[in-house]
Amino acid sequence: MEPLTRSEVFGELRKELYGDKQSSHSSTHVFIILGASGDLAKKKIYPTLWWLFKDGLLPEDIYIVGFARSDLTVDKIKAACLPHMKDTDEELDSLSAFFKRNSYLSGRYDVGSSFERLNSHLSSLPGGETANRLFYLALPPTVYHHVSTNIRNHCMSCKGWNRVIFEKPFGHDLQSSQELSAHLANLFKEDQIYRIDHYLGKEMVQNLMVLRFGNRLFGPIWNRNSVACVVLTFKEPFGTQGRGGYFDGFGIIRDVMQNHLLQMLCLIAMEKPTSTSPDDVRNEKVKVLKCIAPPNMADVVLGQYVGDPGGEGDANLGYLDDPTVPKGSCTPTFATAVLYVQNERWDGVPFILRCGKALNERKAEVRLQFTDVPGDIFADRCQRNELVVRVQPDEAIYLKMMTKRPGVFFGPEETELDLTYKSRYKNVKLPDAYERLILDVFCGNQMHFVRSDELREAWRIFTPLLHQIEAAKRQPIPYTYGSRGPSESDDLIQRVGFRYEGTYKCVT
Amino acid sequence: MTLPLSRSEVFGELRQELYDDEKFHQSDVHIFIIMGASGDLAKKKIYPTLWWLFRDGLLPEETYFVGFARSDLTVDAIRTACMPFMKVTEMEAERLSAFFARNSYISGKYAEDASFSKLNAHMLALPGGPEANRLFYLALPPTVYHDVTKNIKQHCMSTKGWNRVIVEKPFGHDLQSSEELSTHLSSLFSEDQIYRIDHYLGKEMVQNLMVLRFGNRIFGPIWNRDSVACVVLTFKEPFGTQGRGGYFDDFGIIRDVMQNHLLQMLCLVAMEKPASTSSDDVRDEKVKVLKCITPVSMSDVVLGQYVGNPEGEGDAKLGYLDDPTVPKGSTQATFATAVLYVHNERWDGVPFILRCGKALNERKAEVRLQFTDVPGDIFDNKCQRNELVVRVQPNEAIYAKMMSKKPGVYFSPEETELDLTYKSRYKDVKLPDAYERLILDVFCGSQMHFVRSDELREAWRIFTPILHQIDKEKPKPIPYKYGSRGPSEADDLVKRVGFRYEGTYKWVNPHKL
Repeated sequence: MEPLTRSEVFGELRKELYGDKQSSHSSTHVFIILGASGDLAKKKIYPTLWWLFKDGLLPEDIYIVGFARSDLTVDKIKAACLPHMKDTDEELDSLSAFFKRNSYLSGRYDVGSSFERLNSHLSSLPGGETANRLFYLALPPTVYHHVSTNIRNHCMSCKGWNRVIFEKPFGHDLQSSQELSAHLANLFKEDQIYRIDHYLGKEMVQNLMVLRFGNRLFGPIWNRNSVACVVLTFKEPFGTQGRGGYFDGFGIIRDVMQNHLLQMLCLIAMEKPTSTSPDDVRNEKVKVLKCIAPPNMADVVLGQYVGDPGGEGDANLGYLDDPTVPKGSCTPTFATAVLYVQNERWDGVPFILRCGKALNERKAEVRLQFTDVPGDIFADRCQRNELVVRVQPDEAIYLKMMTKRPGVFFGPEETELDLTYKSRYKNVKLPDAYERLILDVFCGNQMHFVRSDELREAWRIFTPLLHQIEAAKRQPIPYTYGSRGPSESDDLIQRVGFRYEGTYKCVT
Repeated sequence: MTLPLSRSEVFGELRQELYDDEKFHQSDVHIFIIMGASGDLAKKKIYPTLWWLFRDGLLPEETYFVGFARSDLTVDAIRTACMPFMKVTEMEAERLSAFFARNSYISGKYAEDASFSKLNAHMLALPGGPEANRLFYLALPPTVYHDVTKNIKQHCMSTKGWNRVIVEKPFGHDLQSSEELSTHLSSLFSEDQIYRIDHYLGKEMVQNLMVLRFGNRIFGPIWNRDSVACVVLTFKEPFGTQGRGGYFDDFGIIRDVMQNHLLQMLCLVAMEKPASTSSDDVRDEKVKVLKCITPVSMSDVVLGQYVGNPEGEGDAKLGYLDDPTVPKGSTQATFATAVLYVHNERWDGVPFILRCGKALNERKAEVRLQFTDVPGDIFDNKCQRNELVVRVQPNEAIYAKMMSKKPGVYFSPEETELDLTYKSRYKDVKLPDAYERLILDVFCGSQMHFVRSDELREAWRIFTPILHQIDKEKPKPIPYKYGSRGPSEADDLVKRVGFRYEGTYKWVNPHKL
């Protein structure tokens, strides 16, 4: 079958998205970027809106309004964003059309009249009175309270719908998160609140549901009888790169583990939902989270990277060498923690979450390691099966298993059944996570956004540990920039049941 | 994965594996006797295979090869006849000479004692002859089996070394004739001296079935009637009888392919895990599962016979009956689909569909497990059934057909596969010919990949009633065009018993994209 052209693909998608919602499609939509002058806006939000616009995935009648304190113009915004927008050379006409729909307002986040002015501006746009409104808070959390209150008081559309998009951090522990959620619940309904965890926009993470629930093969083995352990990994090969000061207030557990890794764990561990409607799916995620007790300190390893004397450039610098990091900081840049899901399906199976900066590679993956073959007849030469879903880089799924050593031999050796996306789906464009997610907001699909009770459970699980670490000022174990992290982490995972054979390397 | 081993490294490892095995004594003398040395099988398969094994140093150094047939031949004449099939490179010329230096030839009559005494004397005269181990390969038409085996037993057995007799199919043509032959053989030789060849048991992917099934935890819980909807075992050839229809006409496709090759693969898919990988433990399980299969009934069988394709080229224009050696009006089947059931706890109710035929649209031999539907579907019935496919030939591969999220901006499921294609994954590995493996097994005394007498008996028990019925009633087979998929009635049968053919999926070799 010939691969579809770009416009055919998006034509199909438009039909899928808007097929039975013609009325909504033809309404006016206004997308308001609060914090339009910031990093996130210029590197991610504006470019993403541009790509969606260019591919015809946004409703025809769309306006984009930037809002920040700075004294900016659309031209200045354009100049700031252009380096991050791709494909602009061939699409100059489209690009002009895009920026023609852009406007900018400056104002103060904590001042009501700024938002009154914003509202007037929104209402003055063609179709603005009845338009649907999406508010993207690309802002530091310190101003959430003010901004959300002001949006509610001054900027809601009376005729169209209103949706508010938030980025993490959502608080820094259970209490602060609940305060924020309570505040938001006062102002907006759950179906207006879109909390972004961008991992939920990634191809392979979205694939987890289809893999699990669309395949008969996996049904009978997806439980404690066959699964020895689950390992969820996130590794970055670089450090804090001069922004350690910001990171220091959070640490790796809040940055990666409590959200991205825990989300992937939910998708792996949850029961099959009643349907694929967002609330049915999120109900199952909340249900499985409720079965997870806070991890024990004994099941956690914390690390902090130090410079590699033999390394080049950044690699020479440790976390504490970053001038923005407070002297003697104990904030971990690496953590491994073991969680248990105490339900019928998973009781006793370790869910190992591992994440870190300044490690030896860039990788995010989900790995199910299966139990040994009972009643082995191959003289103990069989290694455990593993199902691996590589989220990034190089999206892939592979099944590590035993086969007869090919050729004249008869004994077993490891091999894999493999699905590597860039080979199998050479011509398919995999969209950026933000493209998918922003499109979901337009469509009103909350499946890949974090619900309030989901968030509460995620904090419930990690808050005791976080408080304990901070109270005790627990010293993280040093590890060299570019290494695999502290060996104590390997010890931990082996102790709880992961078997690392070391004999196998995936060949794709 | 380590770097691919060079040829000599591979064979070095294997030699070590073999010689560590106490059954294979490197230093003993071995004599390999090819009965029917002048025939097709000998020159196209046996001699070349022996040469390859010899060349790769896989045979004990002290091995002698003795040809025996009625013709008046010399080793040089044999050499000439075999050369086209030997694949010798210039660098191997010396080794080839060494190989033929160990060859000799004796002519004689299959039914004559004196000929065999002469053969024996010749063998005793070889260096180390009296102590040598002896392998007798019967590359002969079945009509002479009785005489030859009797004579071997009476005149040619080694008294100091071991003796092994290798026989090729056909092993009789029904239960009774097969049992007679088996009885005859067992009156002469013990079971551990009898090596019945089904060359499919020497194929890479067929040998792999045991490792796949019993070396992987993930397959354990789904390898049964709860998850498997049906099993399809397929053998397709893209050519007809090619002027040798006369010989084929006595047997038909069921005896030629189904009762042996396909049934063997069925055993490996359906059997319970053996107590160990020793030959008898494995074969015990095969016999056990065969015993649970009742004879196939006519209503679960479709028979076909190919006719010429008017638009075809060359051979394709000719139907089976156009072959001048085929008796006029023959109703012999060149295509058959049959459904078997294994009545045991693991498989009760699961159809095992065996399909084979000549003059079809492609060359293919594969095992395909189709799994049941996902219960409690949440994807709007968009999911197709999973399948696990082991392609035996051509292009050895294993793949799991399954559902994945349609990649890109979509969310719905579409079909894809987790794939293992041997010629990509194992680019540098030489996959030996089935005969190389099997003959080596005989030297090593490993019978795991040979058919035991009781196995054979069960295989005939399952098919004999229907074969007799067909021979008696001579039902007219359904005509199908040369190069087609066979009669559509076969697809109807397969669907009726539970195989779902979606038609939406095409296996994409990811390494070809």
